[in-house]
Amino acid sequence: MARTKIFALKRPYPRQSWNKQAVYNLFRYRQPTTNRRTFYQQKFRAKQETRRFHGEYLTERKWNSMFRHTLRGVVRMNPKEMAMGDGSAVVAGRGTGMDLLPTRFMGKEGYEESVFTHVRNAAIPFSQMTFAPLERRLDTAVYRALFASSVRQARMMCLHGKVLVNGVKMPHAGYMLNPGDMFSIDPLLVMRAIGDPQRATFKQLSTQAKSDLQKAIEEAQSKTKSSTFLKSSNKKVIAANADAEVDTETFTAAGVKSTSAEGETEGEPAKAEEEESTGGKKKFHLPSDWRSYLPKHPRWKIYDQWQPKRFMNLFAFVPRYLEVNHNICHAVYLRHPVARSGGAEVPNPFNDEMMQLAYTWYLRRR
Amino acid sequence: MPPRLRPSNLPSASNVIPQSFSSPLLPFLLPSYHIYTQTPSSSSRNFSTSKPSYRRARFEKTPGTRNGFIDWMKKYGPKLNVPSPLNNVPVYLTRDPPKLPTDKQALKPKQRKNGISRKQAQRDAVDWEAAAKRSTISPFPTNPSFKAHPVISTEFREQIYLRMKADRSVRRISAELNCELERVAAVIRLKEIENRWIAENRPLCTEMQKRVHAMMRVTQYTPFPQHESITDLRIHSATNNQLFLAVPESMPFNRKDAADALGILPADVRMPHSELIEVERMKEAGVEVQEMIKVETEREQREAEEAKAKRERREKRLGAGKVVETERFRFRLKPANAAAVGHRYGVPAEDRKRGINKIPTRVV
Repeated sequence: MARTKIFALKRPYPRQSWNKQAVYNLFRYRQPTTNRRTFYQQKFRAKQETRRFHGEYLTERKWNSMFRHTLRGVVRMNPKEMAMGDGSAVVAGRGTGMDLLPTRFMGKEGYEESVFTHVRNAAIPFSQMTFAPLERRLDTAVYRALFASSVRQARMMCLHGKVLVNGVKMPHAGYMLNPGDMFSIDPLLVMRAIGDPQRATFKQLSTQAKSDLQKAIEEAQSKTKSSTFLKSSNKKVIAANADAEVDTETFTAAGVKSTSAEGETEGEPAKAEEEESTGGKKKFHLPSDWRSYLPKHPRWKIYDQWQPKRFMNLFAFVPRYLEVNHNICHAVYLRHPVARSGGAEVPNPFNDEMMQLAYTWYLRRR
Repeated sequence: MPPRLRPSNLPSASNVIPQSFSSPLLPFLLPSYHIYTQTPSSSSRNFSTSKPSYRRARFEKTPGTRNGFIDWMKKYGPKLNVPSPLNNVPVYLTRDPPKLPTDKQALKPKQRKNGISRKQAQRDAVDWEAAAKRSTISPFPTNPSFKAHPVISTEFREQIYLRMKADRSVRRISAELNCELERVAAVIRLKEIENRWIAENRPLCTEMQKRVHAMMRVTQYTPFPQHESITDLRIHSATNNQLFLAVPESMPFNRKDAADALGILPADVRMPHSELIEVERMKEAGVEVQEMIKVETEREQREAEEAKAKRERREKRLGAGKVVETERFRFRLKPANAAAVGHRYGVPAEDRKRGINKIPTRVV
């Protein structure tokens, strides 16, 4: 069974989460030394450490079946260079290519146009791609697209059927995304997942909100079955409030931000009936149980006053293999992650040596 | 030696109750087990500075556990939690965050103009370009080889969409704006949905989008944006293995020969935006711009026709068999070879077994 206590403070492990304790653990995490260890011990330790970060809720057998020893990489090609030569210069001379331009000639006059002025690129960190197959998983992709604050939360969203892939409900967290797949979540869910927990309760109603609410309640009561329907869902109140839905300014006006002069306090809901607005001289006839008609969470408020979750800025990056639109909470998995000279695309707190050891561990008997 | 006590910063009763507060009731106000407070004691151990051991062990303050975490949250929490970083300079996890490069001279009160607040003056004094350069781009301090790449701004997305509306091909937009082909296509797809939502009066999370982009590096739209490399050639697995080939010394051995030897297509063909090579060649040969545009347009038309023909062929192939539509299924009947052994009914799928759950491999 997957471990439930994952942010233990006594033995810190890095985890894929924005939890404050996870941040603390990541902050003080030091990679294990390889001194006085056999190669086997080094590999085993590296495998332990990396697996605690990458898909710790997956069994080893599951991960083993996903592991691939082939690692994806790309090389950046220069079209100008390719237009100038047919590539035979690389194997010219004794077969290892012409000498690179000696350092003393670099940047000198007359050598700028040379094909060979480019310096050697940094090595491609292939070992960082060891856990790249996990990035294809739907739950990991949801976390990487900044739609959830931890992989486990993303997994929960999937299992609860909140995540759509190409518009179809996909309740499997282990679905392997194909290049070009689009996944999406309800924006409200995303805003709650990666937003600051909103503890402020719904206390006061502005004049605008009151009139909207009255309209909505009247409409609800005029229909036969919609009264209970209104209570059960937030949508109806908003639907009556369609004008406010578009215009953000009206939103705030209709929201909780009301002046103290108008609106009633929480303790006296019955007063709402006698309440008279100061400006419009309009009388509101709200039923005594008006509170039950309100949405539990004021929907419109979160759209305007969204605050990020604590420590979100430390994890605010989107890998290159995803294209994310937070306006609509949709994202596209462009291609599989690749390694390129100077950097790999798999987010990972472990250095190349450690990942090399872990990769070697999984290479056994393959 | 038993562990020693250390002074605490915790909000305990000793911190809450001021030192000057003295009352005969003080011993009763404090919890009896509290060890951080010096209570007047009348026991026989008046001259001893240490506490009885049974009280000491329970409340030992150990770094790394709960108390250490609370201390860390006090010290580093405000430094690391920056919900709205300024000017798109991201704040990622570092042991010692780099300080903003500030012009000290500009901060002097004499230099400050009227009507500018102290806070605003402090912001203005920061060299934001230098700050963006100095800011760490690696979100994990223990792994320098993972670097966060910037994302494209909302305006940039809009520009891509506008170009699509102006009937430019994805390939051309990609080359113009230095964005990968896949990214351009995805941006257009997402933008279409966004526009549909606007048409349906569905609220957009514009505030969240703004705040999220403020936390990361963003490529702004400029006339010639440099977002990412568009000519990344995927390393073919055939090139990972060694291949020994005897070649005459005098024979030039170029990319095409190498590809033939490996049995793959040459890099000039496999590379995304391979047409850029031809453009560069034309540039080198001094072809006029009008001529180049003409050649490019012809190539685009040709490609579009080829793609259309391919699509038609595929549709024809898929619709070749007899189609029987039922309420639930659409059967595509194809002529099958029932004579070969084991080919008659195929192989039963594993996922039909009990306890094995069937995860779809693709969603169309």
